[in-house]
Amino acid sequence: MSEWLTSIQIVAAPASLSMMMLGTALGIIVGAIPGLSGAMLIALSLPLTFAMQPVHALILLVSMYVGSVSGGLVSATLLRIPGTPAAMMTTYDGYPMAQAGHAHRALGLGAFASLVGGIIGWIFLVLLAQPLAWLSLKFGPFEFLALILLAMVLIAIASGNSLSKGFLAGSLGILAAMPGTDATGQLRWTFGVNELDDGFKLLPVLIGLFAINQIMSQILTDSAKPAAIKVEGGLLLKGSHYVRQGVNLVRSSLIGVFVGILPGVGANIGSVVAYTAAKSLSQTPQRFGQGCDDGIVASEAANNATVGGALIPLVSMGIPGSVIDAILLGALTIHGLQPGPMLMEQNPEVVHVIMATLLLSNVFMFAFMLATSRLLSRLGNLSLSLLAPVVVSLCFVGTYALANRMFDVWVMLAFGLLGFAMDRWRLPLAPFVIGFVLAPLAEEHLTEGLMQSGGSWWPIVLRPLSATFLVLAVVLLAWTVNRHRSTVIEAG
Amino acid sequence: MQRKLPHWNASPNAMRQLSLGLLVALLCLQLACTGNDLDDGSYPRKPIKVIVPFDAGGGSDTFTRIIQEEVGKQHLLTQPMVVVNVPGAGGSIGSRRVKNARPDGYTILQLHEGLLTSKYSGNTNYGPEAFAPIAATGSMPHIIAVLQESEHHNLNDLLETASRSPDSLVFAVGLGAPSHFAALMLQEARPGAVFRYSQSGGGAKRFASLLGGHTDVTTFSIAEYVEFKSGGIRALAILTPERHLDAPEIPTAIEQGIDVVSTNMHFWWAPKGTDPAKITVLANSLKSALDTDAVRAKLKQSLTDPIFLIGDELQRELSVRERRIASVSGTAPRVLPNLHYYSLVGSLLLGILVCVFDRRRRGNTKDAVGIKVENKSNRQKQIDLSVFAALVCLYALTLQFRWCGFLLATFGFIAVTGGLLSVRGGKSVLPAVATALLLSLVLHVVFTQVLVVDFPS
Repeated sequence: MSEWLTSIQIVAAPASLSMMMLGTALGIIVGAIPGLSGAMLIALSLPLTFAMQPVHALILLVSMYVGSVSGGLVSATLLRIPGTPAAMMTTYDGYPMAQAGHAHRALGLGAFASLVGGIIGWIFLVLLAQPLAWLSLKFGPFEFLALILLAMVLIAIASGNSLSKGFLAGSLGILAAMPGTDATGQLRWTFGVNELDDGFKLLPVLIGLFAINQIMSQILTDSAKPAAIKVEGGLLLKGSHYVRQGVNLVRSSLIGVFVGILPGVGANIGSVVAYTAAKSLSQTPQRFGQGCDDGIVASEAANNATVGGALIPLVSMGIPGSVIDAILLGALTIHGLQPGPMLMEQNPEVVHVIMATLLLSNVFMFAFMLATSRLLSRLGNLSLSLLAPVVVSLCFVGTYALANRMFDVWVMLAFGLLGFAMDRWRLPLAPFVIGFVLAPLAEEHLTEGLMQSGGSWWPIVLRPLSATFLVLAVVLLAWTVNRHRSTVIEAG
Repeated sequence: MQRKLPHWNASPNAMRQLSLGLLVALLCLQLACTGNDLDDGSYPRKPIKVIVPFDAGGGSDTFTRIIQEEVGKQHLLTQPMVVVNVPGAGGSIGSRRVKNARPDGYTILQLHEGLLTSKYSGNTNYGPEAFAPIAATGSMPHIIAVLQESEHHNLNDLLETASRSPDSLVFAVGLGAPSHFAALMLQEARPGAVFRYSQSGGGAKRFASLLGGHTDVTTFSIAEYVEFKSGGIRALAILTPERHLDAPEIPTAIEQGIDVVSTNMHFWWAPKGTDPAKITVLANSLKSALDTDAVRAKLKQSLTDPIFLIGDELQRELSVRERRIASVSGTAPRVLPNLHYYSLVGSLLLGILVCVFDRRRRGNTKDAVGIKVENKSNRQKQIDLSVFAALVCLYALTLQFRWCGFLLATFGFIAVTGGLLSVRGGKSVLPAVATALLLSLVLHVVFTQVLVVDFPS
């Protein structure tokens, strides 16, 4: 018990609390700025934390993590540019809602959902870290592979109205993930360009597809006088609005936690799966994408819940669940802490500090959003003549800083053009991104599995868990194709 | 709108701002030019970039930053060292950058034995011979470990099983990385022994796959081993010539009659052709940093042995290592189907399918797909977009070929693009210029002074 007391003393100290507020605010700001991502902020701030006390460094980094996942909501809603990859799905409903004059409502809902998602993720981290981490160990490569296939099917279903276009976009995403180094370390499709040895990185691709593309579309469609976003109503809604979202909130958060635990999958996929689930289970799926509450809530609750989920294997086993967690792991080592299964016993105060920061920075995040939303909403009224060059130069900085090279900037511009073309052809962007993110993961697990099984594919259907996922994927696919066929026939 | 158009020479305040902007722009030009001044013999005259070809927070990054911090704190060089992370493709993106860099002593590489192993696994077409080695600092022994409950209690047990039933024990390694070569040397030591290798990236991942029962045995660095020891794993051998002070209970492979030595080492490299005098300056500063108590203490914490090699000793060490690595074949087994071709074919087929569907649907419903813009302004906007795209490309080209520094390029881009778009919209250009000034300065200061990003200057 006494160690809890010391931990509380550490966290409640003014220095810690101000560090937390600073981290959360910085995270939100960077998260909201298109082009700059949370992972970049945390990687670049890491050297700054060397001079700090270990707990302060962790507080700062964890609160940046929470802030950055939440901040993406702002630009996703107001500009239709997800500030962070995790807010990709928020653009679908947040932007139409803001355009309809309810920017406040969208921000308020998103912030509240983020808070709930964060808290549910925190509860799992505190209560179930150990058993969940052990469970995730039982997932071998074939289980992961089957799960990823299931996710891919789910997502192709989710997006847009045309199933075939969803599949085409997903397949193009997979194609874009192919150049570079394959899962065994061999080069593939690099066409002699050495800069391509690492393939296309996620951030330049995403920024190109969303930010650059969106700026180009706006230049093309911007009317002489931009439709000013009216700010109507308060940020906080009536209690009944929140209650109506109860099931959605809990379901999306649970999905977020679970996806977060799985290594390498991360917040973007968490929010996509939650959005898909919300849409599939909704009575009124046609309202998704038109600015409905459920879409914003699902996406934002899930992406904040993944933070808690991803910290579970980190805290209990020393295994990072996402890119940002890998940096946190590095921070622990730099400060002379031994990450790994014994962290909880050897440095309980560190684990408690991480947990407390997760909870408190979610609360700070909510407060910050409430306090600044009126100011933030004006962002949507920024004139394009300023917005366009500013966003582009921020995107340049963000992608350049990834690996200190211009190649990533060119990749971003190329994918901006691709995204622009895809929008003209009515190809949905979300399945493209999912294909792009999941294909390398699937390949990695497939390689690992085949190497372990000596080249045999049988385990994927013989191992109970992977078989279950696979059957689920096939059933879902068949059901959707069937549903789509019948609606097409009715329409025809 | 119309009457507000001639705005920019209206107010004296605006003029003042404009001239200030020009002044700053000129200053930047000045700065950009002072970058390549004459070499009067003293070295270093500007910060030295240390390329770490991995992500921030990893082992190599942490090690380099420990040294870099001390070099700066103790003023071991007249200029600071700056760590630049260039991650990707197992370190080859960063190592290639240094290989191709100007051999002026201002760009160096910190990369462990991976530089050697990636050559012999075929991942790169160059190895240590493409660089001028500066020094070896710090060595990290490899440890072979199994699950606590494993039936194998020493290295001989393990190799016995591997030769009795070849290709049955699954060995988790990073293909083409030092951990893989350690395993290959072990296999080579016992004729007939064959491990089944499984690709697993970092130490944490190998630990997880061991615990989950997906693999049977793996290689850890000693630091990783100590980190995960209590999680239910057991060491079979340490691959050093003698037992290690920090883990004296682990027997060496040689004690067990298996002649394998494998330790990873941190190496510092300069581009080939770098002046030997500069290399000596760098090596001396590394040596002094390594000798400080602060670095010693930190290295002890991460269980890195503070060895230091330069000159002939270093060359000898490198050739011994290269011989050892070349003696085993580390090419990765081909297990994957040609997924890239499948995805290409899949995309083509789906593309055709969508085209067919689309045509049929468009035939049914006379739905005009496309952007709804009035014809008149449509053309104008397309011109806007083309100009915008051209300016963006110009901005990227400027930075790519370093025609001018980041500050000036960004200022120019925002000011010109914003200005043009403002004029098109019938608005004042001043906000654009002011924004350009503010943003380019803020970005430059934040990303180069507070955070360390290597912008073109």
